[in-house]
Amino acid sequence: MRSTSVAQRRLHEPTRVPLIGRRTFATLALAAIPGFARATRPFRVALIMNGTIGDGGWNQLAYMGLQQVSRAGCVTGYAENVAQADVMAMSRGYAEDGYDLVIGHGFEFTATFQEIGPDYPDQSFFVTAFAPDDTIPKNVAFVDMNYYALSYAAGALAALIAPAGRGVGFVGGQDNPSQRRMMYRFEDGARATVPGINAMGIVPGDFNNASLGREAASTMIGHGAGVIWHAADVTGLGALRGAEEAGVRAIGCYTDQWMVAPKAVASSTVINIPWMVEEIVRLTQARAFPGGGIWAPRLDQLWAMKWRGGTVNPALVTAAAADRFAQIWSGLSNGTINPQPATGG
Amino acid sequence: MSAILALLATGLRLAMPILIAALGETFAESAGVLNIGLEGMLTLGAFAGYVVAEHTHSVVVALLAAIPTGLLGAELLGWFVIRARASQLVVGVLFNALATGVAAYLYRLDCPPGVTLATLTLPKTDALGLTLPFYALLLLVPLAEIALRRSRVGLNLRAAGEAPQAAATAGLDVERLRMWGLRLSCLAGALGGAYLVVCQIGLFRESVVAGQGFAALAMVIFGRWRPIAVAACAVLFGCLDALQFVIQLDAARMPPQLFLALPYLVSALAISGLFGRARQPAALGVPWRREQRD
Repeated sequence: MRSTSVAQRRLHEPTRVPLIGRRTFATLALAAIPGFARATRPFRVALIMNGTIGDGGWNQLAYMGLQQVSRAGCVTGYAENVAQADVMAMSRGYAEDGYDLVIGHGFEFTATFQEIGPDYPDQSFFVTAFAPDDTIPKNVAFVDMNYYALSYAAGALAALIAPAGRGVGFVGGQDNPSQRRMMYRFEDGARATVPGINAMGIVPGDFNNASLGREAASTMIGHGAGVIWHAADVTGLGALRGAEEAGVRAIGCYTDQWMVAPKAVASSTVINIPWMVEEIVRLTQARAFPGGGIWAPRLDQLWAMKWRGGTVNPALVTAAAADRFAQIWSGLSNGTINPQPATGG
Repeated sequence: MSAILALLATGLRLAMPILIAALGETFAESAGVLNIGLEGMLTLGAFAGYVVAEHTHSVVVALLAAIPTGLLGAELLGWFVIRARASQLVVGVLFNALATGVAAYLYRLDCPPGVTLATLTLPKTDALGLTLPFYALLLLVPLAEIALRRSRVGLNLRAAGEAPQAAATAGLDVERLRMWGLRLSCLAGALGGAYLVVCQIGLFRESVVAGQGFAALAMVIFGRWRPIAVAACAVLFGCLDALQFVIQLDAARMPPQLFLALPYLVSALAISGLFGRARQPAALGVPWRREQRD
């Protein structure tokens, strides 16, 4: 029997090439441990919007928040102008790509995130809208953006700056229960502040039709409105233009919109969506994501009245009106004013 | 101003961009070309009008910017749907996406997110809230009617849309006629967009057209390819929109959703065949092949 040396045996044995190196193996093993992967790679945030990031309001502000998050070191991705039919595919796409937090900017994402949330239990989904009545998955959260308190405040300011004998009007966007309730709370705020004032509203059915917004404002001005407030994106810009063309006052929304109608805008209800985006990212990173429920920041955390670096346009808002409004705003923020619905639902 | 007059004025203002675009589309469809890209043309015209108005401060020059914009759009669309005989539906849909993308990109070069550009100064209005360009553009309605229904050119154009084979046999250049129909559609679309921005709202966003190009396409069917009827339908559509505003204010207890749907409901009923069948040009949307003559 022929014997072979160890060296010869090694020569004839097939070479064993490791599939992966020890270092790679260790990295992959650690990455498989939930939480460790997040700690070692940048946090990933996706933002999905149904409008354009150049709308000068709602979507633009969310995009600005995303930019701030990106500057802070997160990996970010976004999709704009996403049609309703594409919401599901787009949301699942970001989830499949491993984004830690997916933000759906608007009520259009409610049903989709409710449905897909349980399929991606290690990721978080945040909808910038009211929570539905259904059970909310543990990794899905909604936000109470204080729209109703804000609408009440806007109605109060509109009533305070309305010329004698003139009413106040609200221009909404897409027709949905939130927009209708905002209209009712606006009317409540106006009537509670100036009893007997003519408060009215139109919801034209579209967030992006400036032409409709302008004509809705014009129609209300024809019905006696002396101040217009809107809560609609591009439609609202048209409403501001309509107010200026008709020579009445207006209150902007979402951003400081004095430049859209310089002669008409008395102030704007400015939403701090960039803060909201940053804050929800911070909460998620700190494992304090308000999943399974509703996140409820204070009115003055999310909203502020702004006009060209100040609060109100002194040419259109008297000091007495500004003081009275500041009291109402403070009361709504700290909860000492908690208006009960008087109009509508 | 009486309530009815106010409602009519609101309806006319809302209708004008749709009316202009629909008039042009009547020519294209009569020649056999379905220009689904009309929405995109409105967007490009709106952007061109905005940029030119911002720099020249002239309403007339801004409206004239629709001419090169419309012609460029027509050449691009025409190459695909007339020369290459691609599907008019698919090309139109893609063109709309392209136009929105181009307008958004160029607008953001000028105005990145976070920056708000100054708005345009709108032309002066009369007691009805209507502008001088409005009345000038209203003249397009009788002109279109005469050109399409009572002139030799119009007859040739309709022949290209009804019976292109016969038209070619009679010595007409069907491709050329269709191209002119498409050019008029794109020109009118761009003009409608420019009018919307320059004369009505004084600002631009890429979503500002908001489906008015598609509404114009519906108005052409609603008006049965007759310019005066198409214009009347556009005004009716605008008035129904205006009516829903008034009803929301004066009849607040009634379900508002019904009135929001009113313009679309009436349009759907009008094209449903309930009030007589709408007969479209026989060769509408059918690519013309020159070799069919042999």
